[in-house]
Amino acid sequence: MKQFLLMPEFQLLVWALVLFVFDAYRPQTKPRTLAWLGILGAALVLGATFVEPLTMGVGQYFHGLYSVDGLSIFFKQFFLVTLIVVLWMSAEFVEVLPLARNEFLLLPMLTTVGMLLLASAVDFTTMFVALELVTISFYVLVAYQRNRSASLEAGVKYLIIGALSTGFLVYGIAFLYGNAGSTSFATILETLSTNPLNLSILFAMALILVGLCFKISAVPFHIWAPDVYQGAPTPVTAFLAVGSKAAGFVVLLRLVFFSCFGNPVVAPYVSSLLAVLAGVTVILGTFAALPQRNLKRLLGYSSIGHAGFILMALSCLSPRGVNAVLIYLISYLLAGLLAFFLITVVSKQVEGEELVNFSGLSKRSPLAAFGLTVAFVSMAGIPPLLGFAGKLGVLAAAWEAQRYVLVGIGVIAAAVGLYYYLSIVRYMYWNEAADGTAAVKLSCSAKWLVWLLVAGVIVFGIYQMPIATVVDQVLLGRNW
Amino acid sequence: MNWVVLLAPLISAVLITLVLHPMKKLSVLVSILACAVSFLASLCLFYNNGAMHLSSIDWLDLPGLKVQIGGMADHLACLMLLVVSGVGLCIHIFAYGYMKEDPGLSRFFAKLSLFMFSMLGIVLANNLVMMFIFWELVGLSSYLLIGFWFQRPSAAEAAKKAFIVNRLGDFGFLLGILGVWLAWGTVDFKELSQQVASGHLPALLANNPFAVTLIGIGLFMGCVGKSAQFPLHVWLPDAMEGPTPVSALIHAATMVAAGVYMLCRVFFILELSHQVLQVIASLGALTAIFAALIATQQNDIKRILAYSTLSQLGYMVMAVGLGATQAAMFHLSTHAFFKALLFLGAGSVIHSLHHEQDIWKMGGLWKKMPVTAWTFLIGTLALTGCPLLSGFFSKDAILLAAFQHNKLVFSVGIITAGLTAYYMFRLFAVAFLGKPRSHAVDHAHESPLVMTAPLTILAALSVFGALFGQEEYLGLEHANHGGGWIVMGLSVCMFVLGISGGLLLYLKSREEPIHISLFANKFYSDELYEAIFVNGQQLLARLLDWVDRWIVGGFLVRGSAVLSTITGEVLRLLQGGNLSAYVMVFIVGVVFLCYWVLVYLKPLF
Repeated sequence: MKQFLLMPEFQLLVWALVLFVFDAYRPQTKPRTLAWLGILGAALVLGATFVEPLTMGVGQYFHGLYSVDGLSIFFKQFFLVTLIVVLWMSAEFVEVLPLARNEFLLLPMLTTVGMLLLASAVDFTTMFVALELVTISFYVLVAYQRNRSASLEAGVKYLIIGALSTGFLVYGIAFLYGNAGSTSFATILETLSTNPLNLSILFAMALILVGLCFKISAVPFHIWAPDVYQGAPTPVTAFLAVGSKAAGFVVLLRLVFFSCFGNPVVAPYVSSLLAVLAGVTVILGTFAALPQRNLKRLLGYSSIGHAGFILMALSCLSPRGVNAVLIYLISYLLAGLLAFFLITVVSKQVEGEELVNFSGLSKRSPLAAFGLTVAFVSMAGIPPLLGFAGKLGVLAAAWEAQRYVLVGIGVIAAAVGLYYYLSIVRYMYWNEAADGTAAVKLSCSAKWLVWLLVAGVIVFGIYQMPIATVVDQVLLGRNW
Repeated sequence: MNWVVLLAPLISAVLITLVLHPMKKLSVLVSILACAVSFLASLCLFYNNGAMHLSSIDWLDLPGLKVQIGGMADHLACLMLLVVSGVGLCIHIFAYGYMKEDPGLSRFFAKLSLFMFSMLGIVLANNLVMMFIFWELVGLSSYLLIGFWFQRPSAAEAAKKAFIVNRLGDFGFLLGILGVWLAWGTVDFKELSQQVASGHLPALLANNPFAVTLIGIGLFMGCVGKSAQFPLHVWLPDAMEGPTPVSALIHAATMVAAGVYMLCRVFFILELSHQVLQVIASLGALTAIFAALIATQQNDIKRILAYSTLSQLGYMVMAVGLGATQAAMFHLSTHAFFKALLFLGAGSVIHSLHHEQDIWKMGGLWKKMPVTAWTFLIGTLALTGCPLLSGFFSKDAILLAAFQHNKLVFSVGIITAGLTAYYMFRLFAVAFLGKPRSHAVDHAHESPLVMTAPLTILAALSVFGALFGQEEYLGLEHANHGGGWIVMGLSVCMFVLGISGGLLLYLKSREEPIHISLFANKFYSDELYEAIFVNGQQLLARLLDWVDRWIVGGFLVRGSAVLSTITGEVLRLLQGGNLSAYVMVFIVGVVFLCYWVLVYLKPLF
C-alpha cells in the first residue's frame, strides 16, 4: 500500500479524479482555474519524482511489473514537464471549444498517467495496459472538436490505424509469450539467449516493432501522422508530437537494450533494420515537409523527421547513441512545445494555421515571432541553440558506429530542414501582413511560458552541462 | 566572490544598456563605480597573491576536450589586472570630462564597461579557449568604440578596418590554439605548463619537429593582429578616429598590450622553438624602428602618439622574443601609465582647441594650459627614457636583454630610442612651446579638474611607477648581468641626442623644416595594401562571384531545390487522405518487416 501512495502515477491519478469530481460539483469553474490546478498537481508530482529514488527506492516492484530506475525517472520527468506545458497551452486554447471545456483539461492528465506507467513498465502486461491507456485517451482528445470535421476525421483515422497497430502488437506479444513462457522483459531476454531461435520468435519481434513504429511514427507506419497532426486540436498535436513519441521511444529503449531485441545474436540485425528505418524516416519527414503550406501539417512532417533522427541514434546501440537519444528528446521537448504553444496562441487570434496567416507576425507580435524563430532555428539545428547539440550528438553517434551513409543522410536532411524552417521565419519577418489585421496579443501567463522555453533553448544550448549531467545519471550503472 | 573583478563591469554594461541609459549622469557614475570596484578587487587579489581561489565552472566537457570558465590569478595576471583596472579608472574619470556634451554619453560608458569586462576576462583566463572568447569580445568592443561616432564615414571605415585586420591575426591565433590542443590534448594553462615542464614532447611534436614552430607562429599571429605588429599594424593609426579616451585606454594602454600579455602567458610553448623566438624578436625590432621613422614626419598629434605606441609595442614584442618576459611586462606597465597620460594630455589639448589635432596649428600652449603641459612633459620624458623616470628603467631592461642576446636587435633598439626622443620633443616643441601658430590657440584654456586630476595621478605613476615595479617584475637579477653600464650610458647618449635634435630643429620653426615623403606617407604601406590586397581581392571576388552565380547558385542550389520540391510533391501523393490507402501502406510496411525477417534472419537457425 505504501508503495502505491509513492507512485507518481497514483498521485497524478488521484489528483485528476479529484479534479473530475470537483468539476462535476462546480461546473461553473473557469477552465483557466482548472488548468492551473492541474498544472499545480503536475508540478507537485514532478517535484516528488526528484526524491523518488529516496522515498520509493530504485528497484522492481509488484512482482517485477514495475521498475524505478534512472530511465523511468528521466522519462517521468519528461512527461510531467510535457503535461505542464500542454495544460498551459490548453488553458489558452480551451475558449475555442463550444462545450465540455473542462474535460479537455482533465483528459491529458489521464493520458500522462499512462505515459508515466509506461516509463516504468518492465513487463509486457504493464506495457500493454499503459500503452492502451495512452492511446485510447488520445482517440478521445484528437476527436475532441466535434464541431470540426477535420478533428473528427483525424480521430477516426487515428482510431482505425491505432487499433490495427495494437492488434499487431498483441499478436507479437502472444507469440513471444508462447515461446518464452513469460511476459517479463528480463526473463524473455534470458530465455531467448539460452534457447535456440526459431521463426516464430523473430516474427513476434517484427510485429512488436510494427506496434512501436506506429507510436513513434516511423516510415512506413507514419502514414496517419500528417492528417492527425493537422486535424487534432493544437495542444493535442503537441502532446502527440512530444509526449506520445517519447513514450514510444522509452519502450523501444527498454526492448532494444534489456529485452527481446537485445539478444546478442539478433542485435546486429535489429541495429541495421532500425538504421534503414531511420534513414527512410528522416528522408521522408524532411522532404515531404517542403511543399506544405499548413503549419501544423508541416510540423507533423518535421516531427516524423525528428523521430528519424532519434531512431538513427538508437540504431547505433551504443551508450553514446542513448545519450544522443535523450539529449535530442530534451531539445525537441523545449523547441517543439514552444512552437506548438505559439501556434496555439497565434492561430486562435488569426483564425488559421496556414503559413500565410503568419505573415508579418514580427510586427503584430514581436515576442511570438521571436519565440517561433528560436524554436524553428533550434529544430533546424543551428548553434548555439539546443537543437544543434541534439543533431550533433546523433551524427557523432552514427559516425562512431561507422554508419556513414546515415551521417550523410542526416547532414543533407538537416540542410533541407533549414530551408523550410527558415521559410517560416521568412513569412514572419519579411512578408507583409494582409491589410486590416490586428495585433496579436499574448496573455501574461503565455508570455511567461514563452520566455521560459526560449531561455531553456538558448541557455542549455550554450551551457550544456546540466543536461549532460542529467543524461549521464540515466546512463550510469547500466549495461547499455 | 573573487569574480567581482570581472562581474562588476559586466553588470554595469548590462544595467546601463538595458535600464539606465536615459539617465546619463547615473550611467556614468555606475560605470566609474564598477571600474573602481574592479580596481579594489584587483588590489585584494594582488595582496593575497595566489592565496585567493577563483572558482571555476566546466563550460564544455567532451571526451578529449574540457573547457572551463575559470580564473588564474597568479603574479602575472594580478599585475596586469592592476594596470588595466587602475589606468582604466583614471581614463573613465577623464572620459566623463571629455565626453560630457556628447549625446551618446550613456552608450559610450556602457561600451567602456563592456570593454573592461572583456579585457579583464583575457587577463584572468585560465585556458586558451576562454582567452580566445574574451579576445574576440575585446575586438568587438574595440570595434564599437572606434566607430562610436558612426555618423562620420571615416570612423565607420576605421572601425571596420580594425575589425577585419584583427580577424586575420585571430585566424592564426585560433589555428595556434587548435594546434596546441591537437598536440597536448588540453588548453588549460596549468596543465599545459606541467606537461611542457615534464620534459617530454607529445608524439605529434616529437615526430614533426616543425609542428611546434607552426604552433608558435600561429599563437604569435594573434599578437601581431591585436598588438598591431608589422605587417598588420595598419589598423592602429586609423583607430585614432575613436574618441581620445578610447585611444588612451584601448589603443595605447591595455588592449594592444593584450598581445604581449598573451605571449608572456604562453611563453613556455614559444620557448620550445628557437625559430619562433627569432621571428618574434626580429618582427618586434622591425616594428619598433619602422613606426618610429614614420612618427618623425606625422602632423596629427594623435597619430604621432599612435605610431609611438606601435614602436613601443615593438619593443615589448622584441623583449618577449629575446626571452625577457619580465622586462616586456615591466615595459608594458610603465608604458600603460605614460602612454595613457600622453593620450589624455592630447585629449585635453584637443578638447580645449575644439577638436583641432594638427600640431602645426598649436604652439604656445605652455602658458594657456599649465597642468596639461607639465604632465605632458613628464609623460614625454618618461617615454623617451629620461633617467630616473619609469620609462628609463623599463626600456633599459629590454635593451640590456638585447645587448646580451643579439647585438643587431640591440642596435635597432638603441637607434629607435634616439628616434623616440627626437619625435616626441618635436611634438612637444611644436605643440606646447614657441608662439601660437594659429588663432585656434587664442581661446585655449585649461581643462576642468575632472580631466586634470587623472592626468596628475598618471603623471605621478609615470615618475614613480618604476620604483615600485622594478622589484615586482625583475627581482634582483637586474644588476647582476654584464653590460649594464654600457647600455645605460648609450641609452642616455641617445636620449640627449634625440632631445637636442628635436628641440633645435623645431623650437623656432613655423613650418616643417624637413620633408621625407617616404616617412610622411608611412612607407606607402596603405598604398601597397591597396595595390596588393584590395586589387587581388577584387580579382578573387570576381572569380568567386562567377562560381557562386553559375555553379553554386545555378547548378547546386537551384538544382537541388528543384529536386527537393519534386521529391516532396511525389511523397505528397502518397498522402491522399484516403483511409483504406493508409491501411494499405501500413500493411505493406508489415509485410516488408516480415519479409526482411525471413530473408535476413533465416540463416541464424
